[in-house]
Amino acid sequence: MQVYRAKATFEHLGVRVLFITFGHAYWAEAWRAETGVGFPILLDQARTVYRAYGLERSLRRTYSPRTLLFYAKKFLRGEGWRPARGDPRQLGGDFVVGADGRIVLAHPSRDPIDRPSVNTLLEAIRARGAEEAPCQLPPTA
Amino acid sequence: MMLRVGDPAPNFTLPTLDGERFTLSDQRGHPVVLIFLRHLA
Repeated sequence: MQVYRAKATFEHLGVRVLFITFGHAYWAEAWRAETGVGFPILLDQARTVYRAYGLERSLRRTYSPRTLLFYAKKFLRGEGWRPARGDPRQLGGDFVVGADGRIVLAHPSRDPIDRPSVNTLLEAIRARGAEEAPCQLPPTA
Repeated sequence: MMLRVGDPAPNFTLPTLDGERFTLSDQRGHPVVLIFLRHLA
């Protein structure tokens, strides 16, 4: 499942979800219209925040055999392929920041198809929530 | 720099697609998920 299809679940947990792109606002708007993403999209064209979070640009990782095989299979399934708008070497990543401002989960992508599942993100949030607010757990009989 | 679990999340302020400004530290008290996209295809 894509994160933007789990909006209600994240909102129920009181989680703020932000998408960050280094792309131009025009393409970000087109992507939002196409996907229907309901979360805020932040613009980082200078990629200062990408660098601050340690996200690499890598030609070798972008075109790794694993990635090429993944896209070849997609193509053969008839799912199509579109050229990159922007720098294809820039890798993404996913981070969960706890209510205290500290990193709970850090997942810089090793290659373009390396992303954590929605469940992995939710588990990290729930585990930290239980640590931070044990007094909010229902009392035992 | 590789961020690790337990490290303070680097603070930042960025514009949103809707013309507002977002500052991470303003979200203190709420968990936040940051999804850094690759290119927009």
